[in-house]
Amino acid sequence: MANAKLLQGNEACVFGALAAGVRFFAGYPITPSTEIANIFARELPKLGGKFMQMEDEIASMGAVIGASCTGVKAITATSGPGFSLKQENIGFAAEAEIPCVIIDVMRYGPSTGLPTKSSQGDFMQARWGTHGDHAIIVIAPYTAREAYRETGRAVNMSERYRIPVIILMDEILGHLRERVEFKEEDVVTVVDRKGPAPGVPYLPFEDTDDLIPPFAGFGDGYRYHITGLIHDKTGFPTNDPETINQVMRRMNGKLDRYRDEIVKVKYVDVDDADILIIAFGSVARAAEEVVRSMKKAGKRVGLLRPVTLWPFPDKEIRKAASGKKAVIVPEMNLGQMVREVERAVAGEAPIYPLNKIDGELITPHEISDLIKEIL
Amino acid sequence: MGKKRWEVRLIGTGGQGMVTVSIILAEAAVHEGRNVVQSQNYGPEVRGGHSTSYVIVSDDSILYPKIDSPNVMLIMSSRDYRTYLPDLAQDGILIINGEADHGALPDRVYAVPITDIAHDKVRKPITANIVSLGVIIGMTGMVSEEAALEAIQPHVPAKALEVNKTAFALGLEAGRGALKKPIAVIDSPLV
Repeated sequence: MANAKLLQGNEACVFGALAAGVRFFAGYPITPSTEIANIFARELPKLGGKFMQMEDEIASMGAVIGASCTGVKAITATSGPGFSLKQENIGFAAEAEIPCVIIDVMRYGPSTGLPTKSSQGDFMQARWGTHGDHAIIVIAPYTAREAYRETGRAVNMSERYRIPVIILMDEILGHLRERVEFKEEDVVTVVDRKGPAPGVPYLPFEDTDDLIPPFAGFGDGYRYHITGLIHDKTGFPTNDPETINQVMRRMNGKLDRYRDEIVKVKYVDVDDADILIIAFGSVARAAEEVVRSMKKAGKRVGLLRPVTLWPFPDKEIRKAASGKKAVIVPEMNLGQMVREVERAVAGEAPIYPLNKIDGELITPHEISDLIKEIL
Repeated sequence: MGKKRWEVRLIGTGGQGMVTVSIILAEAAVHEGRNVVQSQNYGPEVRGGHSTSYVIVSDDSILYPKIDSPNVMLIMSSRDYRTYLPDLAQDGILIINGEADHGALPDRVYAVPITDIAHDKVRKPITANIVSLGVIIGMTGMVSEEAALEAIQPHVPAKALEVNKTAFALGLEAGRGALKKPIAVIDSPLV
């Protein structure tokens, strides 16, 4: 993919997933994610993969889990209303440690909301949409090029850690098309899940040193059990408090153990900035324009852009924000990420939320007006 | 003059093919090695709803994908151009589909009979969007004729390629020479 091309955000996700070895998609079309299903339907058969349009959202998630259990890398795509419907089975994937990727192209909600309007209202749902303590990773690209690379990384992380990974897009990024020229660093490597070691009895939820039990595919010759009930290392349900505590701490502990590999943050002119903007997704595109324009005007403004939203990059944010004159958190919601920023910064700098909920992208002017007010 | 930046807003009705025009324009810019971002705004309807597409073409990198003050605006639908005039960047142009009687037009507003050209000259009303593409390129020279033709091809059925080429050529002809004053390209975005 050396040549420059016009690529849509949604399209970029598909090609990133295919490069990482995804060969199964199940879904139910929903604006603004439908192009993802369309393009998988066109591309997967060429690669010997399978595309299934399911009867609804939760069944799609079930099909993805089933496909992944057979050893195939599997993905689905949806938007807010469908993301809500998938949550029960996302919890199943988290509890049963099934590798899978869910792309949520956020639209304005709640409920049917505004199908063609953008929002960042699923920031919290992506982390806590399903009930119970669970390990989950959430990634938010901001360009088509990054959507390609990060969807590939999402597939790889899911396979490596046996954790469901959410790609959190928004309508603007999903639908825009832009010139993309792939470079060396965009090459998606293929990471495969760890299989069982030969010659030893297979325990599908073994308490391994790396916290990641090997995963045998259904049909590979191993006989084992998968359930959404809390289970012991054999995969069968347990009510034993000691076992429950041990297995749940191992599963959730993966996020702590591998946190620094998972968390990715991008910095623009942060070190000598007086004012720090923290933004993700399409809003970060407006924010970065502000950083550029302010620089021309001699004002020191920086941008910290979390690419990984969950686990939340709290220590990176605390370090970058400490001592700044102001930290601005623009979001297309009524203030979801800002709560995490406040927790991370813990009083080390004053925080200014900037919230917009009219369905339109926050403009550079709106951010720069707030900066001028503060300065 | 700084680096060239064009900000284009295309206003139409769902089904008129204006999103396709914006994609073709964007692909033509890619063929020329320029940076480009294309986006759109529309309602939940497939046809008949209000549809606006945006294209930014620049020699610099582009992040913010929306356009507040375009220097090129085209209205294909029957909407009143006066509603959009205040949005126009200084020394930008507003092209309106000149099938109706618009009366005396202000400076910088150009009526081009896009639908009539498609209907009477191309004899294929469906090609009006490609005529409009020709008009834009004829008036602005934003991308080359060759790059545009290369970009049109994958968007039309093979058997309709010739008629679309004709539509594009007639649009170009209508656009060229229509400009009364040069268009100011946008020096740098925002803030």
